[in-house]
Amino acid sequence: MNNPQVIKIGGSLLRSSKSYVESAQNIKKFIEEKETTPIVVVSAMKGATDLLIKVAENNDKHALKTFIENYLNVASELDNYSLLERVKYLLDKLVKVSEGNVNDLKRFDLILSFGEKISKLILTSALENEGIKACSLDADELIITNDKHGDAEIDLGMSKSNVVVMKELISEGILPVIEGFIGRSYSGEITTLGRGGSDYTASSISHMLNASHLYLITDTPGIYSSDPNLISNVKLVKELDYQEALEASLFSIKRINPKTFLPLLNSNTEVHIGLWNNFNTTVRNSTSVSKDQKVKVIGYKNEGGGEDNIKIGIVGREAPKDSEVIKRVIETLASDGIDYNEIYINKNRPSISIAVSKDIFVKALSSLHNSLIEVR
Amino acid sequence: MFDAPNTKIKNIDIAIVGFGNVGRSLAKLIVYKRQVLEDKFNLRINVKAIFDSKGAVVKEEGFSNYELLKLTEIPRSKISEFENGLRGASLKEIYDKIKPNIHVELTPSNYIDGEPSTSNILTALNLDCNVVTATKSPLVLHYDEIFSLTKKKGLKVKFRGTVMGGTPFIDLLMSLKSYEIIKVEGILNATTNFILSTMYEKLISYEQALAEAKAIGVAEADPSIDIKGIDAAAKLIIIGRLLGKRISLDKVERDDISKLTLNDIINSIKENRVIKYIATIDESSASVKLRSLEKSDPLANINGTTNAVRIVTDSGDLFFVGKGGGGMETAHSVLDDIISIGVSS
Repeated sequence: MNNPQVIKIGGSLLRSSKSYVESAQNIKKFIEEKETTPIVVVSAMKGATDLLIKVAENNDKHALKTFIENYLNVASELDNYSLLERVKYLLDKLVKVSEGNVNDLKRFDLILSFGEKISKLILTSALENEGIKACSLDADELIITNDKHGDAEIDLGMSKSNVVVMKELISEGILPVIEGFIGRSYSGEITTLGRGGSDYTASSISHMLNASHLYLITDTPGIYSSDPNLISNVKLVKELDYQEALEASLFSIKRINPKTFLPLLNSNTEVHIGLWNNFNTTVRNSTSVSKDQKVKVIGYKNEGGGEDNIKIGIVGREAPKDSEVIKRVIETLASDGIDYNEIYINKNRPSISIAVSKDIFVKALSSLHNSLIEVR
Repeated sequence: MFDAPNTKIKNIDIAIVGFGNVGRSLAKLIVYKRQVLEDKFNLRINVKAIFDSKGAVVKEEGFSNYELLKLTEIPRSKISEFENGLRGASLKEIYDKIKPNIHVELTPSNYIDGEPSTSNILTALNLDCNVVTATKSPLVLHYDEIFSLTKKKGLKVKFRGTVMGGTPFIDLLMSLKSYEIIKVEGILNATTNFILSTMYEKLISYEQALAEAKAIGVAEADPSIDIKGIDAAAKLIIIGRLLGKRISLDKVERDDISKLTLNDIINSIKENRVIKYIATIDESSASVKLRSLEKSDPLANINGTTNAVRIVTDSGDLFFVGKGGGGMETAHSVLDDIISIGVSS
């Protein structure tokens, strides 16, 4: 049997019943074109997790009401009685849990898990409406994590024997749909994997089942060279290796959870990031990534300690090794009159990082981007 | 160690009766473990029928992985609405047709008359089916009847899922053949232990702790079976049977934990002690009581939904700790019972 392929559907794509139907149609097209049954990992509907955080943190009744209405609307519009019953069953459970009103990380994770769980049922039902044999699998049974609630790590060794069932199902032509973002701790409780955790679920499953391709489907055509909200002339990044992608995610590029790329280091899974019909970014093994482009991404992160410091990261495997790049970074900062507090040329990681004060970081980001990426 | 290459696959046909939490977990577990069971034990488990409170679905050649997973997606008590589902089907009629090797009883316990589980089990035995049950009430109320029929028919009844459902405690106890067991005592109910440990951890009242337990699904909407000690007493009766003792439910002395106040908890902390809800069975009596334990007692340190048992024997104490229940955990015990009948029959 060929190695499996994994598709992860991001929440940014799931906004209405129509978008679930479209996702199902796109999966159907994928099956027909690639002649293979994929494994599908699904996120919660757009905005659902934010509402649940309000429910969990402040017992926000309005947020709960909105969450319930959003999902009930989608489920009703799909016009499937059994789906609606099951969505209602989960929503009833959520209401009961929310009444507990206890501040506790376990309860927090339990509440947050409902967004993905319901989304999975809806997508499975939409797939069946398209005539695909699809089944919902439960991440809180199959994905085993440590006990770190809110930011759990997947135990790949322990989960592997559980997720093998997906391979059996696809060999029978059954499409497994599993929710991302959640897992089950060693002590049997529901855990969540942190923001953007569905990508991490998908990459972990890809690792465990030795997938040939992982498609992270989102609402942008790929990874941009910097934050498009701050930089107007961003470029799409064509290729990254896993280490570079990990580094870029640490500098908050596309809000990908940094844990996503950890299971893939040393793997052979090709990761494609983009829209259904347009995957511009590929992440693959470093041996098959061209070395021509020295700087690929310029991101940033808030530094833990100093509140007023922002760390800008210039990401690219060759960047910290190349004296031309380093020279250009220093010259750019000097010629544009940008004061920096620290420059760090990392020999073990694919980045150069520069600490600048918060009030000038956008200018610094823009100068460096123009100099290193725009004008090459 | 498990490999037995080129052995013919043995088919075990089962019917699942009761399709709530444990039943659904079992259906999924059979899918998850299908390949492993074939590779390691040369066993293929065919689920030929599933019953819920309103009806049944039957498939003579056994449900496929896809169908089993789809069945777990059906809303509660709606199984008869599945393709070819039957409303109000009779066990006997269906068993006459599909002739399962094992009847799996997973209906809720009923301590008033033990129904429908007792009749289900007796019907199955009369039709020459082995039985695996996670339902306690038939064993609590009709043990003699069930086991005399089992013996007469030369069949097996297994019930690992009934006590400390997430562990092989029952099997362990049955294996202690050369020991004299003087006393068995422990924490046998997950809900009440969760409530008690939450009261200690957060210094809140019984009512608040119960509300928390309900919120995270540890307590049922009506928790009286747990808080009145009926569930733990039922488990003691089953343990008693394995020790050759015959006790009836009304002979088990029980405390109601709802009478416990936050003051009781605070006083016990001052005295460096811990109150636990302890089920005990010895030569002369059985009880489920609130007991104040020394902090150093291992049972005093069992918290949350964990269960623990101390077996006092003529050759020293044995201490056993593990998961109480939960759908998937109990399903594992049920599946192990099915496998054990499967490999030996």
